[in-house]
Amino acid sequence: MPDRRVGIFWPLGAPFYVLAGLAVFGLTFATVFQMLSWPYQEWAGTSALFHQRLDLTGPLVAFLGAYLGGRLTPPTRPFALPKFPRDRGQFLAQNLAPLAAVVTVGYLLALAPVLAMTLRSATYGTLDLAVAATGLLALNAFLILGWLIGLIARSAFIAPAAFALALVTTFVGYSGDTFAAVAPVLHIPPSLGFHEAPTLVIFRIAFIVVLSLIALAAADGILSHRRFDRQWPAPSRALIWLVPLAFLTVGVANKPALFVEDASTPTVCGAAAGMKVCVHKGHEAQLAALVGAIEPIVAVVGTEGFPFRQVYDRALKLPSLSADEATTFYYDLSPTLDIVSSRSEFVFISAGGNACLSTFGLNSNNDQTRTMRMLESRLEGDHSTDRAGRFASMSDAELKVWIESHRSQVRQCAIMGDVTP
Amino acid sequence: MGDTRRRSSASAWLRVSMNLIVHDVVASYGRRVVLDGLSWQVSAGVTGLLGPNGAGKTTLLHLIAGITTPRRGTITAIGTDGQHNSKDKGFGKRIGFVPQHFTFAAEMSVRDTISYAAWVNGVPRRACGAAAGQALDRVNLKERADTKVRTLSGGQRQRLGVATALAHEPELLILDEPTVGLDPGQRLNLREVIADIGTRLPVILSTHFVEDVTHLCQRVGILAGGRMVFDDAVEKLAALVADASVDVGLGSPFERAYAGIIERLGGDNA
Repeated sequence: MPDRRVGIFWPLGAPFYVLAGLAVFGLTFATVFQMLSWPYQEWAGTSALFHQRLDLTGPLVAFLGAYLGGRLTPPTRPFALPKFPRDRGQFLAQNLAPLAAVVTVGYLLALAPVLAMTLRSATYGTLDLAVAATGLLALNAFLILGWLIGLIARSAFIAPAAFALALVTTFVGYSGDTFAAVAPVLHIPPSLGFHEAPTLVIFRIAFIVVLSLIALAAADGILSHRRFDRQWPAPSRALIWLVPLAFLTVGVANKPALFVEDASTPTVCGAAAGMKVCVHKGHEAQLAALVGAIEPIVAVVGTEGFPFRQVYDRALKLPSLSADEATTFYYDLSPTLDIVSSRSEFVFISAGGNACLSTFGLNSNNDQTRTMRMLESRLEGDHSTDRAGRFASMSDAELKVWIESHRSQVRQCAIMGDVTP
Repeated sequence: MGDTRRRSSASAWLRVSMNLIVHDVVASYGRRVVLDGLSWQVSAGVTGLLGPNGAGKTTLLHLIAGITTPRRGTITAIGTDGQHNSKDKGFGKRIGFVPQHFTFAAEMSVRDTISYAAWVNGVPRRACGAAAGQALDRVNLKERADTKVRTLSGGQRQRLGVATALAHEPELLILDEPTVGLDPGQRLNLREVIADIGTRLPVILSTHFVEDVTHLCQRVGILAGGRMVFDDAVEKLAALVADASVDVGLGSPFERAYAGIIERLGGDNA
């Protein structure tokens, strides 16, 4: 029998590590799979994805870490006796490094399609490496802390508890801004035009690194002092946890600003039947679709038929930009929103909906409001008499003439039955 | 010892010459003194360690293995490369220890279990595969190398435990009650393995089975009342049978001698 060299998945064997990698890949990919159907990606969201997708994957990795610790480190194992000659740093590395590599690769592979799609479709910005690092560091922190739990428990049966504990930390992130500095997951990701505040990112990285190092130091302390029988640790050995506790306190006590504006906000503009239409550079590829969505309506209603003079991408609604609010309509552009189907607010305003709303209220069913609804449907391109009523049979040219002749009534929600075609 | 000997032992298993000297050792759990000024010496061959429950056998073995440190006294290994105190860094590499109760990760292969134990005990990673192969050979488990630990019988698991303690080529092997729970056939197999190991390096065998001592050991130490009350050749213990006044009914001469010593010198299980 030849003497084999030990493999990379030593000592637990390939099945555990392969399953761990597949589990991390599968769970993470399942949570980003839907994003692949989006027409485009934005770097702000993709960068944040590195920590946002830890909501379930983080607890899974903590579970795997606890399982590993519980299998390899009980002092009753002949290869983990209370005292052993191997340097404890090497022991920790040998325990953690293969699984860390596997889960990190699994996580990155699951995010890779979205990353590739962002590379292909994003027209502004780049991957925020610090934000991405936050996610990868937190992923490995889950592993280390899980492994520490397994080490303390001396059993892999603790793994579900490690999962539950980790799940609490990710759900805490969804609770709002309070725990944003110390929770692995933020309750909202940044949108185009914003990025995660550098102070927040630096603090989060520092906290995660400190927490990981303290966990490793605690593991080292346990390995160097333990015996076959369980003993309560000396209180002095708990003192090192005051360091991450201090970080935790500072992070929670000082609610951080989550996002800050990008340093510059490049704008790309076009025109829809004479109306100025501007989008963020990051939505440049969507400008033509936006113009195409609103142009038929502007062409029929006429630029003077709107209470605003220009249409702006909502990503341009930044405190630092001084667009005239009164004369600007902000259009929501997002990878999750279809441009044509999300123009309903624009059409509603075109038909005088705002005036009806302010004059008669939300649930009004009077003649004026019903007529406004018919006009709104017709402007959406609906020619059915059920919805477009008296406007259903009108051509665009006829409708344009009619709107021009009843412009003031449309804008004041004053179209009575006697003035309709 | 060290890498030189390990490298030279690719096929041959060289005889190890080492003397262990335990001098005036005191150990306690809280206020309870378990070992009280104990002195003992272990050299070549298999040395038995007998004593009633609670006499401190396991405590003594843990001290020698470096798992715990004595409150007082010294434990010194004298080998061809000089003297080494149990508190010295690297002392652990000189000892192979199989605890009384041990567990394995059932999903690991036999080979990986041993090679990993070798690595934890200081063998360079690249040499762990070969170290495992040699250890498997020495405990007659080579044919089970690639099977999972969960498939092993009780006797095979015990031999695997011995292999994990042998793989880093220690200068002294400590076995804490290795034959407990084995059926006669398994016990016999394990004794053969231990006897073979005992021809190569010093072995301390803690046991409750006097047959283990009579069949395996050249010397025997009896621990009672925190002290080594007997430390001599096995034959000397058997010869004491004539002096043994205690009545142990159906016991063998050896058992009567052992019980007599325990009774005379303060043990509590006679």
